[in-house]
Amino acid sequence: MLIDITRQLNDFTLQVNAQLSTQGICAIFGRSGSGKTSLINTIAGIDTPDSGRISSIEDCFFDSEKGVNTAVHLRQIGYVFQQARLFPHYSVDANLRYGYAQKDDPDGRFFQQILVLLDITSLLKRYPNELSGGEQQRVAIGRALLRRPKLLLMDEPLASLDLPRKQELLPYLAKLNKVLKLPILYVTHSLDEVLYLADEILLIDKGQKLLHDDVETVWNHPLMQPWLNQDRQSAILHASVKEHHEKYPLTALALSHDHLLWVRKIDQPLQSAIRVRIYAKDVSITLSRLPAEQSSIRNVFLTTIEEIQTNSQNVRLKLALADNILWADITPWALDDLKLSVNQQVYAQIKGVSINHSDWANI
Amino acid sequence: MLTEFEIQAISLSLKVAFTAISFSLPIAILTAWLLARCQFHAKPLLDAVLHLPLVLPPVVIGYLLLVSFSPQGAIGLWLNNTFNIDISFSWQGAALASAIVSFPLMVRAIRLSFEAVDYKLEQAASTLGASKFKVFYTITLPLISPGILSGVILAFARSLGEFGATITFVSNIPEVTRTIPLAMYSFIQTPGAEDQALRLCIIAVIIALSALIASYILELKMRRKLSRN
Repeated sequence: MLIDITRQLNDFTLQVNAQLSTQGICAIFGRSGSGKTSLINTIAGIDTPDSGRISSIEDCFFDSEKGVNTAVHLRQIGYVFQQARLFPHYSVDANLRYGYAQKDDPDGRFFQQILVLLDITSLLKRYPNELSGGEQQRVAIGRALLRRPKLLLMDEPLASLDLPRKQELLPYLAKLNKVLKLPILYVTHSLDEVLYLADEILLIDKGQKLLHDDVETVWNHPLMQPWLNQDRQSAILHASVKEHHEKYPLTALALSHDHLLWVRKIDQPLQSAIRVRIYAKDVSITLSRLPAEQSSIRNVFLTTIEEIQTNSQNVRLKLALADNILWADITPWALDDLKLSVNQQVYAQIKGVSINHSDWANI
Repeated sequence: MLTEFEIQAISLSLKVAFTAISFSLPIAILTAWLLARCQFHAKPLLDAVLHLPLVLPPVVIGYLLLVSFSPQGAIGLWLNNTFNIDISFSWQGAALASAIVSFPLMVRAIRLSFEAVDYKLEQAASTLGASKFKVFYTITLPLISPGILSGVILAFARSLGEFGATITFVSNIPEVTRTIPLAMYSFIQTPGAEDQALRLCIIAVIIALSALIASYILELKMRRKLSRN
């Protein structure tokens, strides 16, 4: 999907030129008011850019030079809004069928599949005001999917929900893309959602594209650092499930080059690809490797210091672990005592218990 | 129970009111939509002209209708020549007078409900593949139905009570244009007919009351269905 648009907004100009992949979930990430929603509104056709081009492989939706501007209802782009926007005068069933063409699904299998996927079969007869926030949003997602879009836009679909509802909905979103093979543009300002769902990140600030690449690359890029909470700096690593411990509830994740990272049990089959987040505060440094029977830390890796960032509060080390990057927060005192310098080899210790279920995601 | 005279007046009144509303409702919805949803230069002017019947004395409306729709009037002449229709001094003329005086009330009520419709729902409908027309009749129209109902009720009440414009335009002809208010007026003018005037008065109250109660129940039903959000 090619997007190359300019649109004057109140405070700034939205100017984005990006080639989005036609599969997977692309997170459009940025602060509130950075132009994320405006961007997907132009893709949906709800808003019209001042100039530029929006086209998918098959269709051109907008081209200011050729004077093309396809109407919203002809674009075949699904849209899940921040609020569910269910039609109050229709039942759940009628809401779901609003954009659904029975003739494309004569045996109703697709309809059933969506009901099961989103677990909304029992809600069909109810009306929107009788549903919880999470149920409403699930129905809204189902309604958008039953329209059989070629692309799904989601504008912070979880933002209006409380934490338990978010936890409830996230797995459904992750399933969507995998089961239906539907490309999704997902607007969010939540790092957790990015980590859990996204394959690539389009980072936007004040209407401008800052970065666009896969999650790991963007996450570790210097331009991304202001968005990662300063006290909760983290690195993202690619891993696969290598083995489950026979005796203890632990799982070994293989990082690149056969480094094994032992973490709390992850209920995934062997070989599953996983993305894991490691906070800088959970990584400590030693100069020599302690024998395993003298330390509680199971994960010790030999790394190279790439960068030392100091501020008044603490010191942040950027460590290279083969192809991966780790961050470690230490005190200035420790820095002086250990006499650390760039390019020095040190052992990074990672507490396995610090990685819990919100720090990893299937990919 | 009811005299033939009363039945005539009642059925004429109802016929006039229903005809007036059936013809003016579609135009009122269109006008309300224009005023609520469109931006154009002549909007203040249209708005002002629309409210004229509300502020002008009904007798002025009646006079203007008489001047333009009588067989010698500009519109009357044209209607007579093209369609061979003459509505002056007929019940259709009474319906026209009713429609015009009740029009602003109807438009106001419908316009307010247009403005209250959440455009975000219409937006959602269009992303689901609905054309503008489908959005209008599946989303907008059902959502404004309580407003349409209250507009119709207001217009119905105004139409039943219409006196000045009607008597000026189509006069007070028994069995043709003598609606309930005109019939009452005739009784009041006649010495010794106070009882008949009182009976008509009670009838008018009953009709108005039942219309209001019916609309209340209907509106409650509609709102209950719509407030499911």
